[in-house]
Amino acid sequence: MKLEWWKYLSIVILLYTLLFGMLVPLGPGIVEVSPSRATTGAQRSFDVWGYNTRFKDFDAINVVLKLDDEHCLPAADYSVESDYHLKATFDVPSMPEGMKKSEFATMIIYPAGSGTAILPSAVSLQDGEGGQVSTHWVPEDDFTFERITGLHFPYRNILMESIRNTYFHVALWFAMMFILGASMVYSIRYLRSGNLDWDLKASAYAQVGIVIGVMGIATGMIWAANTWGKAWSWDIKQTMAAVALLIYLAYFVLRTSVEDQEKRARTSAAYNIFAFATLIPLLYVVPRLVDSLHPGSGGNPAMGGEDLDNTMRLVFYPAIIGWTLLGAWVSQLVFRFLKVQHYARSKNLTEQY
Amino acid sequence: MLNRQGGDAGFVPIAYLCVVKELGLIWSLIRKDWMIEWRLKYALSGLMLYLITLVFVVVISFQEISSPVWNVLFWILFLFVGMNAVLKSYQQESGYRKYYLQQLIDPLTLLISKTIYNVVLLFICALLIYGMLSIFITSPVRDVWLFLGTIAAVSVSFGICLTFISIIANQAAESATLAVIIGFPVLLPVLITGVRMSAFTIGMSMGGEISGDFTILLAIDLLLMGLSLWLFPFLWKD
Amino acid sequence: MELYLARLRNGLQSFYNMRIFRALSVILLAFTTPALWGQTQTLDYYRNTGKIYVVIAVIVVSFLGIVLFLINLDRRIRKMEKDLNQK
Repeated sequence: MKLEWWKYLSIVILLYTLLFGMLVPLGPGIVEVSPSRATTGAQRSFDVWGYNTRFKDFDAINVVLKLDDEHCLPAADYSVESDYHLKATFDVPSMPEGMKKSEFATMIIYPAGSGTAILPSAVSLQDGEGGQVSTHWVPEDDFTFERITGLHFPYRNILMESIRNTYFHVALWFAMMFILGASMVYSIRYLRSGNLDWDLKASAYAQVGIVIGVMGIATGMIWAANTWGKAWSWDIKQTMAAVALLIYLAYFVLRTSVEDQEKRARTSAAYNIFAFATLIPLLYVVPRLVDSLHPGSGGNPAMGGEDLDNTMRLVFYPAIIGWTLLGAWVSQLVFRFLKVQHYARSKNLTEQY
Repeated sequence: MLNRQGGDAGFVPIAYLCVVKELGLIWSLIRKDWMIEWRLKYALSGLMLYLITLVFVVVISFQEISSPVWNVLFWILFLFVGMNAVLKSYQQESGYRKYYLQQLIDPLTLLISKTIYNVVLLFICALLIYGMLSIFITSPVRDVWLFLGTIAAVSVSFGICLTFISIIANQAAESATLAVIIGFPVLLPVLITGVRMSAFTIGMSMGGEISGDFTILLAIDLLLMGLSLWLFPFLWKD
Repeated sequence: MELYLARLRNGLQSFYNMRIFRALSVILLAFTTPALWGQTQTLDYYRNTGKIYVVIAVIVVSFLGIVLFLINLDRRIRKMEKDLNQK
């Protein structure tokens, strides 16, 4: 009757996320284009620094500046310095009719590695004295961009490889919600049945939930320090996460401050349910109203569209399941310990404290 | 058809009577709370003194207050005064009086009456803070009615939360400290929504519509009220 | 008791070995893919701009979190065992 397989499944899934999440390469991307501003109407050359690109492998590379779908410009000439460094020269004509005097152009390079490398707003173009070049803007349909082939994660400029943290940081938060949700369900079951086992289970799951939450905050701080520049920037989601932890720490303060066993179980169960109910607006509603550095704020749906493509889903969802199962396993261990301890205390086998 | 109508006709007055009786009970409980508070004097006057001192200290130490700071200060004052006002209200319900009440009335009636009493108390506190701040500093509030609506809505949420928190804290030995510890994090989402809403009324652009925040507050209210109605009977019995 | 302790130490040792092995293999694996493509210069460039260390740090922290919690649980259990043995 004992189900044990899911415990080992959690390890298998986590190993899978570790391997898959670390082994799949990023798609090619452009780190930097310099100079990042130029005036039109003359020959301009740019240094392009790529990431995961293999410029040397290709005989012919298309380097294109794109204003919009109707206005693109192929490079007049280019030279490959190394696998990740390329010099491109453009004869930039003056800005097309009906456009602003200065506009950001997107840089597109294909083939760049296992596909196309794109940098939006790569160069800021400004109308200069025109007329010295004979090139024209051409529509994008004139080019055929190679669709990226092969398994890869999307390249994002500031995130770079740390986009893989989606599986190791974001998944932790989801797992925490599931574990704390389980804790609340056990609290409800306790109130329904009055069986102290359920109360101990709720306590065990809350403990593990807090540990996962602390891990989530710590990993988030590491990630933030390397992408936002500061470990703690009072981003609304960071604040809310910290408050969520405070709520559950208060849960344990409550548990230690009620003497009578039945009363403690009842009170803490009631608080657990109440706290979880306030956690939902805390973590899911309030951050969406306020501007935030996290994705999914200011009315956007969290984790969708651009931030999570299908390849990432292949790892992200298993990662959530894996962390949740591992959390449940550890919670079970804590519960068994609490139960033995409770038994020993009730038989006066150990000291009461 | 006729039969059903006849059945309803018999049923409705009974339900009506029950509701009226319940409302009467709630009203008399609220009156009882008020009488105790009024007779004890020290509780109420202590609260007023606390409020006045707090506003005084803030006004003297700040000298000049910009409107965003005023907005935040108002809510911080409200948080402190509100917690002080409500958290002790359940403490009187202990010992013999608790057993007496347990014999007499339904726990839900007691909870509803307590909540309503606290909501009204909080609203009065908020009004007093607002009034006193406006006396000493020119208030940046442009849309007064919307501001009053905001403090009324937040008072409701605060009342529900704090009533339940004080009940929980009262189960423990050191209830005063515990109430503050478990109260602050629970109140925070309501407080943030309140700060946002009143920012609208002083003319700061926060993005979005104020009606959205009202809806969220209402949703939180409904959720927490439902939960406290469901959970209170478990805490009430001994 | 002696035997038990020895066995425990042995188990712990192998566990620590495993953890180090795991961290090492992760770091190695992370760099294998770009290493297949280019020279060491390219590899250095990718390492420096790619922020792969952030990912490693995050993984290490989350494993440490679990491990520290387990060590703590272990301590609590040992304390209880000691109490039970005294009575």
